[in-house]
Amino acid sequence: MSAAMAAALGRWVPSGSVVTGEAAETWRVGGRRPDAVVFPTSGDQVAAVVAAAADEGWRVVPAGGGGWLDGASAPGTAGLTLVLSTRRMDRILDYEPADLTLTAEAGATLATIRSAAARHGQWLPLDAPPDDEGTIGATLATASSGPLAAAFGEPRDLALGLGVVTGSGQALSPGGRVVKNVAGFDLVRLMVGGWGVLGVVTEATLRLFPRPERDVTLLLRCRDGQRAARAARRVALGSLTVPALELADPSPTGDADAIVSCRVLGSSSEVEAMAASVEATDPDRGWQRLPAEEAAEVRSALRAVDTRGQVVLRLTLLPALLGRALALVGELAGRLGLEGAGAVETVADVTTGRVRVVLRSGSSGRHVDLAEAIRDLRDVVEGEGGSLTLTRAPAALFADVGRWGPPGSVRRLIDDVRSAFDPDGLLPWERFSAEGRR
Amino acid sequence: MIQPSRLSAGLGQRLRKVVGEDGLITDPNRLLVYESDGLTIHRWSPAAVALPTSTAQVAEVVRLLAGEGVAVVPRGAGTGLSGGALGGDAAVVVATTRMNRILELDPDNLRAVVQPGVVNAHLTQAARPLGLHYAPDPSSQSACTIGGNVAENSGGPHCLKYGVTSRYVSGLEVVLSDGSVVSLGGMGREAPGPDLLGAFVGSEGCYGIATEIEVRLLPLPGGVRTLLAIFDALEDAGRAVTRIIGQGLLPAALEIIDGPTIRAVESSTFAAGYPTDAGAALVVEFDGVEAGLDESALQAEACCVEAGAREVRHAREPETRAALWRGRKKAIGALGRLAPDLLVQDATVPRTRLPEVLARISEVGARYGLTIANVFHAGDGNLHPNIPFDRRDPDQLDRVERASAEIMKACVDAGGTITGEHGVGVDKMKYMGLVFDAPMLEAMEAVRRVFDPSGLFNPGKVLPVPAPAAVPTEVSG
Repeated sequence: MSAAMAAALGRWVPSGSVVTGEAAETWRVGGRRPDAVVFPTSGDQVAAVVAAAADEGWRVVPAGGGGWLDGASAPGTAGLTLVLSTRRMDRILDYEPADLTLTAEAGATLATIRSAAARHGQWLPLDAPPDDEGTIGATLATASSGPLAAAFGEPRDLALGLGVVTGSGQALSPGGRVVKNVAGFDLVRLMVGGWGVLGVVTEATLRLFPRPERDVTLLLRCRDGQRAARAARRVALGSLTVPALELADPSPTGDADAIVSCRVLGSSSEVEAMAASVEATDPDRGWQRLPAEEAAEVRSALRAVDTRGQVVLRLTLLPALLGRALALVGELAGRLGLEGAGAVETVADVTTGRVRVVLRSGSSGRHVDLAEAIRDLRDVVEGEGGSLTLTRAPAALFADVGRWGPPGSVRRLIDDVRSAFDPDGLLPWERFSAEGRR
Repeated sequence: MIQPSRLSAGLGQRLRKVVGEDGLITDPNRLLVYESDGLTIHRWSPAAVALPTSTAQVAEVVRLLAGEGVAVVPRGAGTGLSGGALGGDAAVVVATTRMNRILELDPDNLRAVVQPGVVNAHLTQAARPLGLHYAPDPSSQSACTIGGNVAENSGGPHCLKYGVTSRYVSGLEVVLSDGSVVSLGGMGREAPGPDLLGAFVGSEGCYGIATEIEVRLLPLPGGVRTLLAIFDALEDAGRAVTRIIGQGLLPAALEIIDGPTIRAVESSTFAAGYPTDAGAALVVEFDGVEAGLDESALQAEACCVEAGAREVRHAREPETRAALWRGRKKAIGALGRLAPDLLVQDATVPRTRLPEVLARISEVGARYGLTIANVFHAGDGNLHPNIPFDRRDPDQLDRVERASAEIMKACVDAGGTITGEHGVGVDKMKYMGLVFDAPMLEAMEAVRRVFDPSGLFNPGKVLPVPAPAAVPTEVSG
């Protein structure tokens, strides 16, 4: 079957653009090897591949580098599965430094964009996990962001325009190249965070910023998470809008130091003033300014936390409830018997109240307990106005718990938006419908 | 022009039961207030106006209207500039002006929850004692409502640095056309599925009515510096903007007022002391940490001088800053006094294309014998060419419309778009084809149908199809 797929696809993409069999092994979707992986080199080819898949009745799972092909992406039906990776569409198509706008193909990595912008003293302030090797297409499709979003905006605020091929094979170009645009209904914000369920992102026009003159990271070590949470909240409630404020707790049971990391950006005098005001929040003067190299190490360690375990949750509560969120993580760890440094790792974005929780040792053995514990925690968190999202997990856990909790009043809207762009269910609609069993 | 209301007596009675005797307007004289928005060229008088005071009332009103197939047109303060909140004689306007309570100010989470009829500036006034403010600041902020801002995804001079409304709306409660109440987004939670909240903001009253709005607040800036640079030529002001951006500076606002606008302001009651022989004035504002401000202001001043500014004025205190801003803030008001009507455009172009587009606008104006006065957000390329005219003169009206169309086309050809912050409404529907192909228009229509399968919410707006539910009494027709 795979050979037939490759032959059919060969009509639309250059030779060497389709892999099958063993070569598709690294593109497993939710534990299952796809029947083929195709690497188109243009938006037109993406449209042709999607149209061909519709004719043949294949399922299409959009991907960039393959980092998000987890359990929630797995097509639930039998049929043939094609992973469509935009990885070979990695060109910068247009860059006008004086307009602070850059257009890149979906497969361009954040690193590619970073080095292009750096030549003109600019940057794309998007520090999505796990690192700069992620493609812009996947970063936007999953609406992934990091602590810089507090000051510079979420992916949807940075994307000015997109190229998209919908599930019905239609090429669309919502948005544009200007920073202010209210012409017609906004489809950019719908596609950013669309998880490839509405369409395949093929290119993006992004808003860049002047690279700040100075970039300083301050670090505060605290004996436990609760102390760190209080210290972080003092900074958050100060008179400054802090660019990036994170808390990392390597052990919810309190066996290791927690840290608060605060990144301040701006001109020399601004950074001095902001750093001084951060330092003043701790009566014991515990904040230290990190040397550049160490700062970069701390930042990448926090950013990549998601990759350090098989099961990653995102627990979100209002920012003022940060201490409560950490306590809930502690209860979860206790219930699962995940004790000791490193068994559960927590990184919180203090400004948004998003807490990434990595469950490590023991999290693979007792599936039933784990699923039940996560579901119970979700009930508690939702009862307090928050949410619990499963971001990485084995396929079985996704099937049991679901990526999100029940959609409630917006269920019809989600279903109808999906079928408006992908009426035949070609794309991995399971990503939206997977809400777990109860 | 004034006709008896076309609302059936039975429906009127049922609506009154929901919103009270004084909550429903059907008297044709009182309906005149609602026949246009800030763009008076379009006039459609509604069959009635309902003034609900709660989400439950909005839901019930929508249910009653939808049940009889009557169109529903959401409206805030009516300060819009695209004819987006006009009813037509088969529609009922649902105005949110009585839903004007701030429900929650939550400094611990830097957020507020408001009803849609809360006036934009009132929110910042209420938040200021807590050291906070609401960033989006449309020029009409002393009158416009947050609900209207959500519908239009409004901008303002300071969105150069802070971004537009969509960045600050974190959650919504919305009444859909079947009368159901749904909750979109919400701070402190991740909403499942696609970004329905993001899609709703800017939907111009076509997706539903927002009945509760959660917004993000920001700490008040530690300090502010305002510069007013006077130039002999508009092009020089444009070059100053390019230099400022090229220096890597990020001002909170970069606003240009051209010569004709300066002269209109100075000859009005709003006179701000700008030199009347100037070709342009540029307002540059920096805000943020006090420590960096003087340095930024000095750098920007040098950029202005290098670009040929003949004079640069400075201010740091609220009163003196307001004086420098006066000419900008009162520009539209002053232009409105030059002639019975004022056409306000809102195209956006990539910043680097501003000089050529401005030259083209001036050429178009000269060719059609029209005065075109430009007031614009130079930092983000958002133009507001304004044309004072008299719609009673058919020849003038024709020239204005043809000049408008040429200007729109020039902006789109330069890589821009037809509206940056005012919305499409009825006014720019005819230009949608310039920026979007048929598949894009169909995709937008498909999303509209997801939110409003009935097609009863604000019909005849934004998308060139389908046809309006009622024949509008449009003046230009």
